[in-house]
Amino acid sequence: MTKLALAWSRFETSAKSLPNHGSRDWTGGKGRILGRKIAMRFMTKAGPVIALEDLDIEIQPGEFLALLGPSGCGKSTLLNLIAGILKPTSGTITIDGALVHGPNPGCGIVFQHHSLFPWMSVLENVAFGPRMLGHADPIGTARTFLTLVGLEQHAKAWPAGLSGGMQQRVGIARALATYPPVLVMDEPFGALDAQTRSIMQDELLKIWSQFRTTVVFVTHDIEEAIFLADRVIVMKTLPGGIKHEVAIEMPRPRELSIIKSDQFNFYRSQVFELIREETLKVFRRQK
Amino acid sequence: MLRHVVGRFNLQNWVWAVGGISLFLSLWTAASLKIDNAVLLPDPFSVVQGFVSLVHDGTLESDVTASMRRVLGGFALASFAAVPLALLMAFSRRVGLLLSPIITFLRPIPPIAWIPIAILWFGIGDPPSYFITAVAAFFPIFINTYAGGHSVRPEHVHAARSLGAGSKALFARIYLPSAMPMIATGLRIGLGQSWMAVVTAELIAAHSGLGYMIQANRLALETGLVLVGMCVIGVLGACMSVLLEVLERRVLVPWKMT
Repeated sequence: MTKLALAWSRFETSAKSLPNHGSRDWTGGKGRILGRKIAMRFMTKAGPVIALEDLDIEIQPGEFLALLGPSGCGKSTLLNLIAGILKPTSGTITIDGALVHGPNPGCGIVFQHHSLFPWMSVLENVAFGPRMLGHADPIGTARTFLTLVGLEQHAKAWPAGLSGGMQQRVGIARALATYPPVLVMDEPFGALDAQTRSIMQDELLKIWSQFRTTVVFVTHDIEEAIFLADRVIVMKTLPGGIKHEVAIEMPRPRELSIIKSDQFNFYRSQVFELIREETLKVFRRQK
Repeated sequence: MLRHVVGRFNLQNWVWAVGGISLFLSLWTAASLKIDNAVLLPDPFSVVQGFVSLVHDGTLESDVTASMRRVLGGFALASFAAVPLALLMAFSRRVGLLLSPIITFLRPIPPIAWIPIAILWFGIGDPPSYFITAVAAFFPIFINTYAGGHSVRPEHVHAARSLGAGSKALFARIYLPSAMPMIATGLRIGLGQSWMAVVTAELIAAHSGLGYMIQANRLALETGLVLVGMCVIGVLGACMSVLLEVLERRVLVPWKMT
């Protein structure tokens, strides 16, 4: 762990020369996401679909943001726009002032499925990013990050030999090994059973507390969003966009037991009502 | 199918396999006793005798070597042409559009139909046989590689680019391994096709090899030796298929798949 801290402090000093805007500058002010007047339309056989319309968003450096909403609300679309996987029909997205075009090392990605490269060992998967970016000692970095997610003894295994939860931990280690200012996660625990999911959420917060990289986390699980995030954005449908934001003012580090607290319950019922409205809206339209 | 035979050693599987071979041999013996005509159907024992005599006078070895050389040569030519071409067509839309009509048109032509033109171009002997085995192996390798070139997952491409991979690394480390299982399948089928084609080519366009040996012995009414040739072809073909499967699992596609 000391090796990791060392690597991180090196990274931080190199980042300090950059302009510092945010109020919470855990990453030396890196990882500010700014989206202006974003619109996204898809053409389908049934006609044009407006996935997002006139959306403005600002995410602070080091903020943990959850995008929550029923399916079809454009939450994954927004995440893919931030990651550069999709291009907006109109509007702009910048990370630290640089326009996003295409996936780039400024933004790490963790998917729900098929995250890892099955033809590389677990260790080589994690070493891939540092190797591509020409960092010194990619294998050493990979070992450090595998230790961080508790999988150093599986370094030589093929990804297919690991359980779903372990694969996602490797995916997180791989995405973090290049020290990206932003990390986007598209329902990373969506395919895991409830027990594993809860452990993974706890693990993710512990890991994130050492990095404080900006995280954009897409989920349709209300409790997951509230437990993890500094801010939950509830998305709306038809047309897709932001319905409401809820700032989650609960102290960190957060223990799993907080989901039983009154404050957590308050947030849960608030968010539940917001999502229920949206789901009913879709339901009525279908009738 | 072969995975049962070459898989982890399992006594019960082997007992069944040996049982199957014994059943085949006893049916053959019964049939040859019933027919009682060594020209129409010799019994297994006289085939073994024929095999021993051909091994002793050295002709079997030279025929096997000749056929093997043609198969491996043609197969290598086909692999080196088909794999890069198919990958190029999969990755470049323009090259794909340009070449796919030619491929679509050439593909249904069976290797045998190429033999007359191969003799006209290359004469009799090794060169037309190389040509025919290469043609036979080319299309299975090409078609599987082409499909493999399209099988890359977008998630892998996005993840690789977000980790800093440029287009060269994307090709070598993401597209190529994604296509590799399909390439390996293509190579396996291509080798089988090539092996079948060599016999056909040698029946007509060569003065050596197992195909020629079968043809010569047919004319001499040495049916026992014809069957020796056929059995050797069968056994060698199976061996090559198994070897390639081992190569696939050890070298080409060593990773575990879900």
